[in-house]
Amino acid sequence: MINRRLFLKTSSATLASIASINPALAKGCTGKRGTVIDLVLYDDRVDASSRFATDAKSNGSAILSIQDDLTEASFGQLQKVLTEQEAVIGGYTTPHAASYVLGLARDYQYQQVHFTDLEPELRQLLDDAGQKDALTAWVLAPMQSADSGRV
Amino acid sequence: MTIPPGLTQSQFDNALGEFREAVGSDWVFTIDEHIAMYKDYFSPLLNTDLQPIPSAAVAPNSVEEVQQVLRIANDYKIPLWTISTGKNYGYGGPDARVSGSVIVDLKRMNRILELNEDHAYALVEPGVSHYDLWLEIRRRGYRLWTDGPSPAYASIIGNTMERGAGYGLLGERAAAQCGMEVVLANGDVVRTGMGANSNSETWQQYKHGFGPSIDGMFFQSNFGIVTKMGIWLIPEPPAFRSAEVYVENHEDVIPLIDVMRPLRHANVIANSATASLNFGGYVEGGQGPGGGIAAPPGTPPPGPPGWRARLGFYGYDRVVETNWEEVQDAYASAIPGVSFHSDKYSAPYNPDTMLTESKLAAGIPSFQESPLWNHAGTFVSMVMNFSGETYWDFMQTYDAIYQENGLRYMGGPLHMHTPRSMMTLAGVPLSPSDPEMNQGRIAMVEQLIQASAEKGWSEYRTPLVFMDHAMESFDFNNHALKRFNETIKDTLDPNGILSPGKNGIWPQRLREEQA
Repeated sequence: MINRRLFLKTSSATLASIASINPALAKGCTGKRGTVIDLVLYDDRVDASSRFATDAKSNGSAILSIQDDLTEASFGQLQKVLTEQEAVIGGYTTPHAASYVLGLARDYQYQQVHFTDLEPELRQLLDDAGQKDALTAWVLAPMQSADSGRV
Repeated sequence: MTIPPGLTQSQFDNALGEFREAVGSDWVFTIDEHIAMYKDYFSPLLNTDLQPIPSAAVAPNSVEEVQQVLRIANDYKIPLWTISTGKNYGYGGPDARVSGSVIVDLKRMNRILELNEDHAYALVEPGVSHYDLWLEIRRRGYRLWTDGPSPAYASIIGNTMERGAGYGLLGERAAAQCGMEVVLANGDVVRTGMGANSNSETWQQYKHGFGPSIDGMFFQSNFGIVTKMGIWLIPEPPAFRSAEVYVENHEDVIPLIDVMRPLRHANVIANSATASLNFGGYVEGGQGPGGGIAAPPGTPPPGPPGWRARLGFYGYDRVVETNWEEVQDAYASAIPGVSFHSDKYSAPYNPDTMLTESKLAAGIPSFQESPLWNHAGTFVSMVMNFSGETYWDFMQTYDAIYQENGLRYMGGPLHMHTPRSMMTLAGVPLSPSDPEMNQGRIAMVEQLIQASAEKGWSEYRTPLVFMDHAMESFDFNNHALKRFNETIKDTLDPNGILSPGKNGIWPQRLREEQA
């Protein structure tokens, strides 16, 4: 089961990362900088998402570009990571891309530990920024990892 | 937190405690972040209060744990909704029909129980995907082919139970099912076909058993939870040719279909052939067809480049070549301007050097069809006569209704699973941020279903939102089929716990509430 420490840590890291690349979202977002996310999925068509990936990469994350759906290449990489059951995976992607990854991760015993829809302030900020349907932030962690408090 | 209908919070807390005892506390999901993973982000009801929200999800790991989950659900009269590895995109995803349902997620039951090379079959649990099976076949070095959907992470059992289709020799997947194990609502475990003989050596080889064949009752139904299924595989053919037939004009779809029919009957074209508009399956710049062709107002009527059929030829080299020549001759004599493309492969096959277009017909996991899902949309999936004139009528009928709703219908992908009928998808675009527009589109789909029924075309599968509407269109003898389904439902599942509302089959207590 996901523990509270992991949840808070990954959530705050994600929010901090998002805040760092989108001033419109910065208001109301608190948390320390740095990442606990091993793999970041991003959408290279969207500047904000690319900046998120750049930021994450500078903090030591691996990055993987994904657009609206899974391709043979992205599925292959993601399936390998999911099978290994070690990486915390974060994304700043379109909702469609997120739904594909969430659906797949569900089958590999991953749990969602953060998504923007749960943060009322952030949801409002996303709406204000006109990005309601554009990008969503999410974090997935393997159940085993969460149990052990690895992160 | 949403709770099951009719329960108090205290009762539900007690039930959750029992679920945790049954499957382990790690495998009962209740917090919002986890529940959000059981949401259909393609639903026409997205971002409305009408989209059902599950109260929890449980993930049993064995038949015994499934039985325990059912016992608890019966005790508390909790509606369950069973899913597995399959994604069911465009048809409802993991959504239940009743808000407050507990999702029974069979993902942990992911064992390949048997893989038989000599007799070309597998026995699998619900959490096994086509991709998993393909990997295992390769790991063992068996000369077997699967025939999966695209994308390939679909559950074998889930997709087969929904009568999903492939593109190869066993494209009509429901026909490749052989033997299943089902846990009934009362916890009893039934094996179908020859599996009813505890010592059977042909459970996955002979479908029919002794007495009535009951396997079909569990397809697209809510009469039990399928925990094991046999699926036939394809012995690797010595040679394989993937081919495409191109026609230039929109009207050429009529002879494209009609020439194909006798070739399918004669098994000259042996695979589950497909045909689609020859611009990649959807209109760029549209709002999102989701599998069919729904273009915004102002889109001009379709013209060249016409249509493309995708075919597969399998077997000994000379047979493959002869059949392909017959097909080219038949089309060349019927359609001016027809052109062909094909690629030939021989065993041993190397998927890494195979063209993407060829992989699907060879059962190799592919994401070729994934672009169809790029945008939010919902499907109308109609079965009709294997006839060009019928399909032309279908396109005219649909385009008229699409235009009434400010869209254009230009023709969707066709699947020729059998020589006698074909299925087509019509996509209707949705917008996650515009629930009001989506409500209009729901009404439009209902209009399409009704118009189709009047023409004699019926849905083979439909999103959750339209299940009742689709079932109503099966109206012979004042809906005798629906009454029959309800009789079985009430007998096998008197508390109505298993997937209530699935394919328009409601248990008695919920029928009474609706009335």
